[in-house]
Amino acid sequence: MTIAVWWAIGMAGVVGLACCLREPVRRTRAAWARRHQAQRRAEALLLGWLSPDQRRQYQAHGWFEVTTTRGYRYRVLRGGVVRLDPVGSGYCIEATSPVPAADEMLANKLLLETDERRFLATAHRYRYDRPA
Amino acid sequence: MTGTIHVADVDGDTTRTWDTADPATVREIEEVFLEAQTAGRLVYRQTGDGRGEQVTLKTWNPEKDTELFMAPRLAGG
Repeated sequence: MTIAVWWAIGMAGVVGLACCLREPVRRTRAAWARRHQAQRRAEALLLGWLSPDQRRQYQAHGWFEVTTTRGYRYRVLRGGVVRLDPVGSGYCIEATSPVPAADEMLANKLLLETDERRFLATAHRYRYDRPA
Repeated sequence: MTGTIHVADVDGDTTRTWDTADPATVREIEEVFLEAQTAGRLVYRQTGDGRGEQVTLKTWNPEKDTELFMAPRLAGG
């Protein structure tokens, strides 16, 4: 076969592959856009529920601190919570349904502020010596 | 008086609103409270100082508690 034939076969393969991938790529992009929009929406909601200090912390660092009614200070991060004062504990706690991280952070904040005992009973505690 | 409840979900949240002048909309929100209770989810009302308070169907005042958040159920990870 001549080079022209090989080139034509190659091009046909490329075109066929592009056609096969078009739909999966479109779906992936749509899913990504939906997830991005959900994150933005959840973040806007979170900001609306934070105190001014917490809002500043979140916008600067992506985390914020919560002081509970008994005076313990926690840092709420994406994917977990650590206790800063007294130091020594980290907590793994997550939503049981798929929600953006900001929704999870807001849920953790509100639970800590309103019912620390329930938070401690729910979360898995692990030893954590250094500040986040 | 109108109010809004934000139900956390995969899309960030779904917003439901009520108007105390329209009892049907208030009843719809009461259903949301019952669903939350069944699913083990907590509902919070927003206080003015960047904090929240847990609120239940019994303690909810649709005239006063006009900004609500239904949190996802949490579990140890």
